[in-house]
Amino acid sequence: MMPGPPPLQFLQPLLDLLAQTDPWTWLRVLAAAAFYASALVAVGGVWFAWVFGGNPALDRAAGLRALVPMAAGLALALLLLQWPLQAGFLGGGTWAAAFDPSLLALVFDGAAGQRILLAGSGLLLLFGAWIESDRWRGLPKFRS
Amino acid sequence: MPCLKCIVRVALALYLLLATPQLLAHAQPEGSLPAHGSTVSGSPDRIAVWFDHPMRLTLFEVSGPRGVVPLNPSPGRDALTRFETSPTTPLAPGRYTVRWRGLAADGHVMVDEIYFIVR
Repeated sequence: MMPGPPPLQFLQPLLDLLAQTDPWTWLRVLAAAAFYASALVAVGGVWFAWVFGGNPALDRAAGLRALVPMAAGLALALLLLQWPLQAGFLGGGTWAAAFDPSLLALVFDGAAGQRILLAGSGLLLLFGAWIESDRWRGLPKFRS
Repeated sequence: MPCLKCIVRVALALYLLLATPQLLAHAQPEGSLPAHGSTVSGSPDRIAVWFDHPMRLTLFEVSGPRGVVPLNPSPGRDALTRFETSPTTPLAPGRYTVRWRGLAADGHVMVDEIYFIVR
């Protein structure tokens, strides 16, 4: 009987591709993934507070008071980190390129810059609402 | 009488359909000189790439058996559909890789590598 192919052999091309990926690309992907995760937690926390805002025990159990601003702050930092990471990648994957003013301006003028502005504005609004309301319970509920 | 929800859904679908062409506007490389995978006799005078839409090249690097090849001119930051440069010294026989990165007009980051052999 002929031995069959080793299990998960179909993943080999993908693993080869990942092995060839340069560290700068990994950094960009990891920063983007961490940004999406933290932004999701921040925005999701606000939605949660809006829906269940009438239940202080639930708010406390979910730890929203600390979690939302922390996640929003982390998301903002990761968002800003993507700016030099993108510039560095475009310049060939060097730290000198990451802080090259012309490359930074090029990134900011493009779609990435618009994304940074939009997402950054949203995250700053979260901070503003947090400071304004002191706690998320102060925000209006969907169902009253 | 059509319901309001149906009108909103159709309007949203139409908007998405109309907005889609912008997403299809990625610039693509159309060719290079020397051609990808080709073998040339003697050092090429010019090395070029061209695209179907304007591209802002941020990196254009040729490396071979003796390392990175000095080029003149280097890419600027203007959007162009063709970039052409020349090695400042003749290329020695061997395999050369042209690595470029750029930003398309729609903000999409483009990356590619081509190679050619000098005999």
